[in-house]
Amino acid sequence: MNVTVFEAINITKKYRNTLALNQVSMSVMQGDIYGFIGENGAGKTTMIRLLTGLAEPTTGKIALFGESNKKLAKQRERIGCIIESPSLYLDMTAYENLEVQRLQRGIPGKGCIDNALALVGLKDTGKKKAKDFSLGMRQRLALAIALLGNPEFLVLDEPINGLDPTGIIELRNLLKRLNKERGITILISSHILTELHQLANRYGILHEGKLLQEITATELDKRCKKHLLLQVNDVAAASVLLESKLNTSNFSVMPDKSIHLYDYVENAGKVSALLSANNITIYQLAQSGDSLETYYTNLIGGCQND
Amino acid sequence: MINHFKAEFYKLRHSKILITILGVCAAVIMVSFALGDMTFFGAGDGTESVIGFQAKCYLSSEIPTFQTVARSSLAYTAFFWIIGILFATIFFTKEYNTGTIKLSVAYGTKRTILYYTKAITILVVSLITYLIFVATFFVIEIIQSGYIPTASEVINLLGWALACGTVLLALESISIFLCVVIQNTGIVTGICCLYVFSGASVYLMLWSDMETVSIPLKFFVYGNPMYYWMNFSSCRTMGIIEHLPFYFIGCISLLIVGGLIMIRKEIK
Repeated sequence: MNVTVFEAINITKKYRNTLALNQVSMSVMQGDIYGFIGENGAGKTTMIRLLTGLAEPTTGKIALFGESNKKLAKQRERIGCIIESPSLYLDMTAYENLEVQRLQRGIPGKGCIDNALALVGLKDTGKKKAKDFSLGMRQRLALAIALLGNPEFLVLDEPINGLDPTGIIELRNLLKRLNKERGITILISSHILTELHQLANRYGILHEGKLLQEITATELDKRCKKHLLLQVNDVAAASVLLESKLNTSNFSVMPDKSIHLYDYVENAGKVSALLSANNITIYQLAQSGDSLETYYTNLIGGCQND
Repeated sequence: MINHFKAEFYKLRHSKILITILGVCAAVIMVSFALGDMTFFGAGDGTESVIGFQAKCYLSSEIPTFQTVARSSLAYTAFFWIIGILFATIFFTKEYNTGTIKLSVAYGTKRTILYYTKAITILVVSLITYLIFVATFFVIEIIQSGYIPTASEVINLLGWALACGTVLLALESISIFLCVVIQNTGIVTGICCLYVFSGASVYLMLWSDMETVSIPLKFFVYGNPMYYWMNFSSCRTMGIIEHLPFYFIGCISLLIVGGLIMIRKEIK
């Protein structure tokens, strides 16, 4: 059964004259690695702040593990999170930071501290204070805090910030492992779309406070895959011709009646000749296919040129 | 809630705040050795009506009295109030500055629990530290003057110290309330210090005519820690102590209002 871990229903958040979120509805299912995509100010952090109870929505409803309203606070005990920047006691060591959180959350046994530190590679930091940590180490320590108490749902706001390339790879592998081995559901927001592309299995694309799209990684790959984009007057006849004459069924008919042909990408002439010879009018025949960045940029209406 | 108290005391032990506060207290004690006789008091007809700060001012060093010993022990209380303001403000706003308050809320802890465990920790630690602070001065005074106090005199001093401690708790309640509203260490400390020091100068100007001053000025004086310090530290409680419950309850009410604001306020 597919269980909803987090659900936002028609969420609007208004700050004086600014509409940070506008009627956003989204859901994160159990086992998801949900990539939350959006430019600065799109509303990603606002949504995470609502999820974690730091702010209240102006209208709409938030549900965690199927519970909302007064039962929401209790459900928050089941999550782990990094919000905005690593929240650490800078004059304490990594161990002490975790011990404070352990005491506060009433987690029994100190063994979980060593486990969490080992998991993020900070076991040997000894008496070094968090203020002397690099930004990458602080991010890892914040992740260790988030992992304390075996959360079922990890909420990570820009966790890649400050990590070096090796750190990014390690974090990616760690998150994948946590998702696969422990079944932890993850909501991760980031600007680094290529990184999200390697991690997430679902995406929510937020722009100017509106959720433009929720899409699975499979669907996104399909949309981004290099293909021939065909627009013809007779889609059915063209499909039959592709199957019978070019021996390919590797194409999709899209809702806008265009055909995405994933074979013959480098041999558009052959496709064109076949369709023309069978009296099918071609309105458009072009190579297409995006990276996540291009897909995202196209979706939000393109980049601004100087 | 016990978990939260444990966490608060752990934070105190493992951060530099408590060591710094104890260090400053030790520095004040050392300064008292260095400076010797010190007085700062309002004009009056005789010694009995003098109010204010009187440390090591013995009418006769040959025959010291309990009043002079007690006065010297309580004289540095105002310094401790400044230390108390700093402690309360830094310890409270630190959670906002480091963003750790966000984690506590995100993990489902009720904001009221967060607020009151922190506030109670601040108040309890301050009161205990203050009593130790006064006791240290008392011991020093006894050693220096050679005066041997009776048990009832010690109880008397404890009473005055507790009265001053109550004022300290009230003052810290104000600073905790301001921390919730303003969340800026510098501004809250500045406001609190201004409130304390302005109280000293206003009271010194008005103290002989207190019955005739306007009601707002009366409220300002009776609602100011310096009013209590200058009298309690001069071993004067008659006509003063009855104002203390109102001041204390007023400040505790502010603490409760702070809790209500905390529930509703967005955490940034």
